[in-house]
Amino acid sequence: MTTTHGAPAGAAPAATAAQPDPASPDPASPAPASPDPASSAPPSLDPAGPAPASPAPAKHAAEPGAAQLTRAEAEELLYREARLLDTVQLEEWLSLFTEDGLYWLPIEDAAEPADAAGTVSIVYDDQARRAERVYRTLHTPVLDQNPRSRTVHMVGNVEVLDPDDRGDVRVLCNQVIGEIRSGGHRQVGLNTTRWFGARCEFRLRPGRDGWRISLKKTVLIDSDQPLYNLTFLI
Amino acid sequence: MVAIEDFSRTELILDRPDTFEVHTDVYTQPDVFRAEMQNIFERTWVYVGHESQLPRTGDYKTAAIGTQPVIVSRHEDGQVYVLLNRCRHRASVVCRDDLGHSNYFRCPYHNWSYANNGALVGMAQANGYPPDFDKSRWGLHRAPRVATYRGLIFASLAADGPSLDEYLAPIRKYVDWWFDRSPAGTISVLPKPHKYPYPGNWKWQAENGHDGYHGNYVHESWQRLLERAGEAPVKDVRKFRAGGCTRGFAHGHGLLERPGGLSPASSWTGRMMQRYPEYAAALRHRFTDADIDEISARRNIFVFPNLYLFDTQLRVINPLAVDKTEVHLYVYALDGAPEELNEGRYRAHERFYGPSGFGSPDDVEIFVCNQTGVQAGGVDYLLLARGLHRERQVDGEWVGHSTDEVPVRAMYREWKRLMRA
Repeated sequence: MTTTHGAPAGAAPAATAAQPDPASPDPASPAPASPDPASSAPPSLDPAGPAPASPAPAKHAAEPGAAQLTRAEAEELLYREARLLDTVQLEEWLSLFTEDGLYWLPIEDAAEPADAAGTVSIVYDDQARRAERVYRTLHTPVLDQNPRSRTVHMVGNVEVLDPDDRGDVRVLCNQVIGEIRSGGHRQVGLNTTRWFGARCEFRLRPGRDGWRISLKKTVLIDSDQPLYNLTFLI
Repeated sequence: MVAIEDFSRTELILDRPDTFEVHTDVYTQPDVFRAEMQNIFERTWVYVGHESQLPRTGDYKTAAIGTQPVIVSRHEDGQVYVLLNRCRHRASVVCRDDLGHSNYFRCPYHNWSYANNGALVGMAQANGYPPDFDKSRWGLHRAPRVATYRGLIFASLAADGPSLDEYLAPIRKYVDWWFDRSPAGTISVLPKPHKYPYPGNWKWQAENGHDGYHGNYVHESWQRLLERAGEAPVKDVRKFRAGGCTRGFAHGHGLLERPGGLSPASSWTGRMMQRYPEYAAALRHRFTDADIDEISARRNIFVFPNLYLFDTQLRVINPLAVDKTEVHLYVYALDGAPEELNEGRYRAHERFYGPSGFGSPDDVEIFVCNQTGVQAGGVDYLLLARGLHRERQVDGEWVGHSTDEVPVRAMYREWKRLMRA
């Protein structure tokens, strides 16, 4: 009954390159215990309030009929976003978002980000958290992206809908995303392509430099199922 | 019951004064896995849910005891029953939801209906059975023992054995301090957990939660992230974490502990007390400074064989096969704490734990590395002797350095005892 993205049965032996350096600090100083996210969270990262209820007003609030997006324009942005993810141009991907933008993978779909208050999501990233996600993937010795995921995002069923309360244009699309981490022969956890299906809602806001994303909500069809290694940018 | 000697194999756990080693087979052999299900999961107390998930009569959830599907349901007598999810007629499941509410469980095959306590209350076209057919013998099979401690629901498929009180006694005070972070002394579990599978043995996860040795290496990226965020330079994190200890207990329980403290600099609890005066007041109303010092210590507590108590979640380890495991992370609210404080905990949980977290997936990567490594033969035993030479027995506990393998030795000592019985 449960669909899992089961990691593949192993492939080949060879040790993966680029393991983190087994740093051996002064043996007299004991290694620390497991990380401590709750007590490590600094005041600045404990949110000032519950999950965003009323977002800040848009800088360029679109009046009804004022700033519109054609389907072709929406597709252009979505294809570009997909390409940036697939080519791991993640710093550029970050700049697609508004400052108050949210990247959200709920476990249970909900209409508005504010509905996530009182729950946990798979991903619920404001600007700071998105930047952390990109930083860890690109600039730290992560194990879960070593080897790195190769992805392909197929975007379709694009519909441009009415703006939301802030005037951000709502764009729906479906995505099918393929992903694989290629490693040595028979390594458990590597070497099998996984496929994810998702229904997405984007909200786009016009600006001086073009349209930006104020919301990317990706609802995997198996969002409430066991999910193996979702550390690539989906 | 299948005793391990029946396999006529080499000693699987070497527990010696000068070494402690675990045989590869415990992670790779299906017959060992089957014996674990029978000798451990179907004998001891197994965590199956929390009372906050079943507040009303008719509420139910599904769970597993080992690989057996069960329903945990609250009956109109107010009690929680743990029932094998299997119709007594032709063995269909009678419940397919994670969580729900119903006055009865109805089998989809021939409509046999069962009350929330498992009693058979109806069958379709009952005239196909003789008038003296005794329905009371054909209810859903009940776990013979169900008991709760502070809302944690445990079940045992064995009719006898230590009571839950006896079972938890070695760790009770640590469990109590863990709950007492809540001003009300209780927690409320959120409805939707994080879940991650991995193609590896369940014991990799069981061993990892109280491993204080791996953090610098597996979670170096996390430490770099904290450094980047200005939260703590890597060397300070490492120095800070030099304190604390590991503990091992009878019945296979264990924990990893880091010291707390009342000041914001020394613990999360201290920071929360500073930021939310009402939280500080609530704690101080019930507890002395010495109590709060213990409450604020950060502990990952392993309740053998399938439950971890973490700062943000209840973590349940579900063994599916010798090389297949599912882990469920049930995030909870601290009842009576400010809403903002709990929301902050949910964001902190998302940041580290779960399939897209910045910490857990690195651990899971190690589990699959382990499951590949154990396929290499010619090396029969894994070495679990870190700190064996400096392990101390204090008040019935084994105590060691925070990086020592004290808790995992406690786990395997109990494992060895149960697997021989």
